Formats: sequence, C-alpha cells, structure tokens
Amino acid sequence: MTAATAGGVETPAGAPPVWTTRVAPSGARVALLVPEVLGSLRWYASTRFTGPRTARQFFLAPRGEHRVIPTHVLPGARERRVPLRGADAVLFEAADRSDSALVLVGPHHEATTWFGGPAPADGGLSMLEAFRFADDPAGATLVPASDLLLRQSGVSLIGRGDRATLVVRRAVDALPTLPEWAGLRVPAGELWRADRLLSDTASALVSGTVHQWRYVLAGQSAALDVVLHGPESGRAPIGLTEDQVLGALGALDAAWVG
Amino acid sequence: MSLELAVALLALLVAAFALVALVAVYARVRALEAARRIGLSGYGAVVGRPAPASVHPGPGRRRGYVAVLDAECALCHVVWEALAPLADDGVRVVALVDRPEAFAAHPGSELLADPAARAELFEGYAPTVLRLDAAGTVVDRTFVDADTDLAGLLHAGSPA
Repeated sequence: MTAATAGGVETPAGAPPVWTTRVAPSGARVALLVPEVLGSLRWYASTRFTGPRTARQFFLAPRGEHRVIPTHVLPGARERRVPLRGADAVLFEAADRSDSALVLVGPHHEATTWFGGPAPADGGLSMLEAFRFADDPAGATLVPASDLLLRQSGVSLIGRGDRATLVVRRAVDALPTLPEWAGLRVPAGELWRADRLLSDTASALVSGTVHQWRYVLAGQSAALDVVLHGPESGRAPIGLTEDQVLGALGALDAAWVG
Repeated sequence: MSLELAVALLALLVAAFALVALVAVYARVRALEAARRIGLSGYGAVVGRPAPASVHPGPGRRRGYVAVLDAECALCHVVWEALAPLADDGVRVVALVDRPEAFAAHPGSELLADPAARAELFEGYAPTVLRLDAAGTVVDRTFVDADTDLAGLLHAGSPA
C-alpha cells in the first residue's frame, strides 16, 4: 500500500454528490457522499457473530437475490418457507444435503447464512432466536438478541455498481489494516492506494492504469475501500487520469454513527 | 411424637415437595416446547393466526383478502385497483388504510380505517396483501413490490 499522490486535483464535471444515509447491519447509520464517477450503487452488507458454540456470518443483500439459490447455486434445492413477523425465513438444502442456506427475507432486504452441510434439524429456526432482524428501506439490521451471548463484528457496507465497488467499515475496525505511514491528505481524511489481488492476466490488462490499484480512504469514523472496475472485469477503462480519479475520490466521504 | 416418627414425616414432606417441583419443571418445559411450535420469540408471525374480527370474511364466504396500504405509497394504489375487483359473494376484500378518502371506492370492496386492526397486521411495510381462509385465519402474506407478479398472486391465491 502506498500513499496516493496527486499533482493537480480535478473534479470531474457533473452534478455535485449529495449525502445519502444507509443503515449498517449493526444498526449504525452511515452517511455517505459518493461522487458521480463511481456510478449508481446497489447496497449489500456483511456481519459476523461469535459466541459460545456459535460462529456465523450473514450476507445482506437487496430483497430477491436468494431466488438464484435453487436455480444457480444449489440447483434442485429443497425449499422451506416459514413466515415470521416482518420477514420470511427461507431454508434451502441441496438435493444431496451437501450444503444449505438460511435466508431471512424482509420487504426490502434479505440476510443469508450458509451451513456448509445439511440444514439443522429444525431448519435453523431456533438459531434465529439469538438474532433480531429488522428491515428498513435504508438497510436491514441484524443484531444479537443479547450482547451477553453473541458478539457482533466484521460489520461492513458494500456498494456495488457497474463502475465501482465500495466497502465501508468503521474506522476502528479498519485501523489494523491501514499503513503506518501517512496517506494523501483529502478533505475526508487520508487516501492510500493499495495492490489488488489479480491474476497475472488481469494484472497485465490493468497495468499502468487507474484500475491497477484499489483506493483506501480513512476518515475519523469510517474507512472506505474503493475498486474501480475496468478491463479486468470485462468493462471498458474508466477513461480518467490518475489525478482525475484522485480528485473524484477526494470528494468521497463517509460518517459512521453508532 | 417420637423422634423417628418426626424424621420420617419430614422425609415424606421433602419427598412430596421434590415430586411437586419435578412435575412443575416438567410442565414448564412442555409449555415452552409448545410455545416454540407456535412461533419464535420476537418473531410472532401474522400467518397462521386469526386476523382481527373486523376483517374476517364473514359467514358464507370462502376466503378474504386484506391489504395493508398507505395513501402516500403509489404502489399501494396499484395494489388496491388490482385487488378490489376480486370482491364477490364468496370473497371479502378489505383494505386497511390510513386515509380512506385518498383511495378510489369500489363497490363490494371495503376501505377501513381501523388503527387497531392495522397495527395488528402491519409488519413494517406497505403494500402487504394477506389471504384469509373462511374462518378468518391468515394463510399467507406477501410484501408486494414492483417485481411482484400481482396478477399471479391474486388470481392464484398464493404468494409469488
């Protein structure tokens, strides 16, 4: 990871970005200022829970993505739906019971966890008593029913679009992964660029372009990881110079509250 | 009373108390297991429970539809326009709404402003469509969004 360097910082033309607010799985409200260059984003999230005899990861997504499980991920999977208040619990189990998934489907979002084997005897429903799921247009929350039994960690918001992927975490959670040296000073904090984990073929495609790097922005309360999709993803290059990209990322900002 | 008799009576009392405690614990465990079959704590489902009496299909009807709608939501009006014509002698159609005057009236279908019934059936989202059997029990519930096959949902009588 290196500190991003900029000569003249330019902001691409277009409408000024506006603040939007998303809700993280922990219930934290995350205010985001996303520049136009990153395009429109669909919001996902991830969180982990650990406790006595429990270690579970949930992936949150816009409602409806679970429909690909019985068609593409586990073709022919058995499906069982249990209506709960404000959501449905949908259990998928592979025909050979080699894998299974439990999805909490709310009116706006869904939360999925994988078992890596046969589904629990009760379909995982008793496990759900340890969690509280609440859906909202700005994001779903999934929290432990009791902080004494489960600890929530690894909370991240993930914005995905055609042009970019953006991962937002609490600054304190991201701190161990940040470099010890200073980054480029931008209004929202410090900006670094870091290597991407790409195959040799993909690396060759993006070498010498802005797609060669991922960009890490750390502010007072939130840290953001930005990847600009380019030829390595089968897309056209973004068509901006490094200075223009850094200028756009200088307009990126996030505040994690809670 | 001799000492032996007193000790024997005391032992009998302790044994009786232990038996009562054991039976009470067993009854409590069975009650908790029964409660678990009904629903998860904190997730009390609307489906499978009787709907409020004000929206029951009523005598002689084979089923009912209840829509939980908001006047400010554009999709709610679309749902109401699709749902209302389903009302007939065998099917009762009720919309639980915040402002009845904001919705178009349809003969045979009812717009109710019943805050208690609405609170009981509202699951944090509108439009929601619930299907009731003849006895007034909620048999399924669908959160309707732009991707929902509304025609399929209403005419098949099952969730999309």
